[in-house]
Amino acid sequence: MKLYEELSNAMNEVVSVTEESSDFKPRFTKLIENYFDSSYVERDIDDVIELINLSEGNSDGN
Amino acid sequence: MEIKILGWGYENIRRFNTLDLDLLQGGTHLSHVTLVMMRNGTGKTTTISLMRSVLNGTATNWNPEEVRSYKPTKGQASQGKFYIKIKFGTELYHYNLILDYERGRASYETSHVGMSGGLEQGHTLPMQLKGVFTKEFINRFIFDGEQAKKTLSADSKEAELAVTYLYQIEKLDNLISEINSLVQRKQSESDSKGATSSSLSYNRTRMENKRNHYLNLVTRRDKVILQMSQYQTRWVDLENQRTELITSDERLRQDQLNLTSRKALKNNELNSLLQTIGTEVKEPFNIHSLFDARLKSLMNNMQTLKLPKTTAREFFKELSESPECVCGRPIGQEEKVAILKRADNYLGEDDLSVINAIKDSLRNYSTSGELTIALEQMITLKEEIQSIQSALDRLVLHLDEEAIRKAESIAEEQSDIKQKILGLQQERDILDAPYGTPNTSEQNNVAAAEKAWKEAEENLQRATGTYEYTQKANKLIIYINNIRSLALQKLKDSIIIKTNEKVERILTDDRITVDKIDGSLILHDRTAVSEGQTLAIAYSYIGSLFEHSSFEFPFVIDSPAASMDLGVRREVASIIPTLFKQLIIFVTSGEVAGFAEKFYSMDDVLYATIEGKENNEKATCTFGKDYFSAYQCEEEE
Repeated sequence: MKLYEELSNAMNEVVSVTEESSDFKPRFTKLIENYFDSSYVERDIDDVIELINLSEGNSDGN
Repeated sequence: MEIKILGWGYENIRRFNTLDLDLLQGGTHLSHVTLVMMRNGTGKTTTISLMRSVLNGTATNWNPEEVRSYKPTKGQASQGKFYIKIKFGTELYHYNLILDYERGRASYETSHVGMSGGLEQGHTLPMQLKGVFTKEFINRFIFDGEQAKKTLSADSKEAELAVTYLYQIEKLDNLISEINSLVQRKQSESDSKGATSSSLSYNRTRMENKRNHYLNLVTRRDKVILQMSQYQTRWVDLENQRTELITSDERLRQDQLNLTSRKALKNNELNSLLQTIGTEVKEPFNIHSLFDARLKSLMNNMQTLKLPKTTAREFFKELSESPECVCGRPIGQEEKVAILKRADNYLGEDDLSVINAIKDSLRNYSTSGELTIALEQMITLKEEIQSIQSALDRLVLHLDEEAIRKAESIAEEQSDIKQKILGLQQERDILDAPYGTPNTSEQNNVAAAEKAWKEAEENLQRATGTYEYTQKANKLIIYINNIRSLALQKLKDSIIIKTNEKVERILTDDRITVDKIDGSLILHDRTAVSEGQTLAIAYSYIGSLFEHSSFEFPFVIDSPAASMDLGVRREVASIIPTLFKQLIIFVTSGEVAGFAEKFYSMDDVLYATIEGKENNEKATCTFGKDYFSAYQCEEEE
């Protein structure tokens, strides 16, 4: 299906320029794929949030 | 998922007593194209409207008048029914829209395979289509000329929304909402755990107060804008009344016209002069001789200092590679590192080009007295306009006594309104000013209030220990938004290519291309197209849109060719069946020439001729090409 093709391309483009960990990238793309298939649980969102790296100036260190 | 309409029917709906259109005709084969011939005024628009309503589930919100508008004008029917049979994938659904004419209420019944007990009250959709089958969405495949215009109207976001919904891009918005809800829940949980802390309570109240204050300011700004517009409307209304007083007097009418046209002329001159002034003031050397002298002095200094060449970063980089310095001392590793480290303090190649451009501008500019002349002309023009306005104001003095009193009362109200508008303008300017503008604070400025609210929110997040979590969630939302924009853009690009291919095949006489989808379809170098061209572009767009969607929709169109010339009709008729897997076309006999007749040579077309009756006689439907084409001939006669 066209959407998944474009969505997948867009995900790869966005993820490739982030400085997130190698754990984050597959979990994040899987979350979006599962969300479109309605086969996700809230815990998945929570886990992906926790994997985000704040060292790029997004945190004030607190 | 393949979606197919298998038939529909009416019971006591306007001119239809009972009529059932079984597109399968008792069998199992569904034709690719169904052409339904109906005369104008016999219920085509009613049918399209009921098809939409039976599928979108919104008729329960109709008011009694709307429900009763479907009641047959003759007879005593207390209830009407419109039904549709539709297949979602392999599941067959049957929807009834029940119109209770006595109570003025509409309700739904649904049945589908697997549902126990036959018909059930209410409107039920397959799980995959919940949230997709909205009122707006259904209008995209049960189509008419109005919907086509929306696709190309600059005021509409129809074209973009169609992509967003059909390709379910909005699911990413839902994911963002879920992330926000999760963050809020974490904050509340953390809040309840640390409920003993008084600082937590303080921070929460503070944040809520700041948020409420921000929202109040936003509301106030909207109210101020609305009031201004109301006052402006009233002012114009009063001005018209005043003009009417004067023009109703034969003696004054000509004077009024002469003065008004002179004033308009002077205002135009003033506007063009203001444009010149706007351009001239961008050149400071034209504003005052002091600026001119300073700029010339800057130029001399740059030349004296040989700027920018002598301070180039590249010079130090080259120097660090030399065995010895310009002063003769040797350059070792330690010196090399020190020179390279400090080289960044000097100008680089990119800075040099900017400075050279400045130098060039300084060297070549010449002053002009145009600004001074324009400013003098502006003062004269303003005085002239003021004098014409005074003459206009004085015209009322020549009116009779009663009219003078009326004019004075109008002038008084206008002056009062003018003051009020000025006050509101000042308030709006402060409310809307960018953050940090002098005389603004979070008390009177939306941007400052929003900043204060966001800061208070961050403090609360820190106090609840969810600051870091919230920041991470926000970063995740940014990633998702980026994916959303990119995916949407890629989809739009590919849909535009497909649309343009189709448009080129249909509109052979006129080169029209779609440039982009920015809310609506934006055409290349065209601001207006004919109604027929609008439809051709809209069909091409909708057809391209459906091409790669996960849903295969039927396409139902009302009078697709009425506004097209014969050439475009033929092209549309030959292309439109290739765009959709199921096509139901309502036509009048006037659309047979060039359009419906093109289908006569095609396979897999079902022809239905519906004849609505004026009296109580039943409306009938006759299937078959022969009857369809013969009916057309009778109509023509």
